[in-house]
Amino acid sequence: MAGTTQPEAGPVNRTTAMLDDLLNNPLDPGYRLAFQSAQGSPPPRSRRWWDGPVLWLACVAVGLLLVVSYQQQHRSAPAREAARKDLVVRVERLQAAGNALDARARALVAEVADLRNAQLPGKGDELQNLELESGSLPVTGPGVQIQLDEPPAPTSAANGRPGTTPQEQVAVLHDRDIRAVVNQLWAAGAEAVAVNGLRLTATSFIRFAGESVLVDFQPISAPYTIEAIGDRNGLLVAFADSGIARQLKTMAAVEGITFRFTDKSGLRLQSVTVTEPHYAGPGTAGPGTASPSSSPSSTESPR
Amino acid sequence: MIAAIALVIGVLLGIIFRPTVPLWLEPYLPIAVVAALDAVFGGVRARLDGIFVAKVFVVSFVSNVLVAALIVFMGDKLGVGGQLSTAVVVVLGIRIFGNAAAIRRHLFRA
Repeated sequence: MAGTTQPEAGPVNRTTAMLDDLLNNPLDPGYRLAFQSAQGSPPPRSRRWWDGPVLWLACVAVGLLLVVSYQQQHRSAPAREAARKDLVVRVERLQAAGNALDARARALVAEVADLRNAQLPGKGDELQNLELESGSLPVTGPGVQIQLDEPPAPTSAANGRPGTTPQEQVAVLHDRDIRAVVNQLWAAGAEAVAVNGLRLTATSFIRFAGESVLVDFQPISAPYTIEAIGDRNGLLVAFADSGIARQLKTMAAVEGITFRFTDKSGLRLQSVTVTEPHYAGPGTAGPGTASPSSSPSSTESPR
Repeated sequence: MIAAIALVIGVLLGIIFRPTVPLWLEPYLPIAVVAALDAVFGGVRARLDGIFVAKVFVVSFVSNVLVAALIVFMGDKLGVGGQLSTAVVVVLGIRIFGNAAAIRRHLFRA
């Protein structure tokens, strides 16, 4: 009996003994050993000439280490803060530079359009209509304005760090609601649509990333204003009759979102710099067919 | 006594010269401090026990700091740096507590 239990008990005892030793005997065993050997040997050998200076140096090192690590902890925190502020400043500066460049691009586009109209008097109207459709000209006119806002109180307390909760859980209104409204307006015959002042073009998208809705890579937030220019009575009637309007009305009653739509007599929508679409051309057919610039301008406009 | 004066001198040196720690050394500093504290508490206790030997103190101080930094360095390289530094802090913390208790018994007879 005892013979069978012994191999098991051995290592177990040893590990617990190690832990016991760690807990009960925290002093470095070297002290006792060194002391005993020093006791055994003749006294002059235990004290050497460098004992004092080395001890002294070690104590200096301990003090230095303590104060350096303290300073490091407390100095690196402001440094981190400064780096963050620096980043914020840089982002803001780059955003301002981007906005300035955008404004300049718009001014240059307008200038180009003026010059072109002066050079080509005949085609001006047609071109202008196309530019209005594509969004590269600012437009004014009657239309409808739809306002959407989140319910006043947040639906769920933020659990966790800010920015980590996905938009799905924070917000009642999602990108798909805005997208549905915009699609409904296009379907009802809107000539130009803008979301929070961002004009939509043929290549625009509305989706979300993280906590904010993105319109053409620009984040927008909660009070959403969707403006559409067109036949305002027709737009209003068609929108009020649509499924998304009913759905939003239900959401307003149930979830408490703000949902208003009115017709406006004078709306003004900004222009955007429209990215030029690229057309793919057949690559192997030969040198004659490589004219990719055959834009569909000769055909009738889609609307 | 001489040790306390040297400690104060070290602190003053640190305050006056404000040495900057290179970035690659920064993760090992807290562990090194804990290891140094362990050596210091061990030294004080040995002193009170009357078995203090300067050589053991110096060697244990230097080797504690180096080994602790080495363990954390190895852990970083193996991807378990956080866990290994926790282990080092736990072991050294137990030793510091034990030594502090022994010092307390010496000083207050309680």
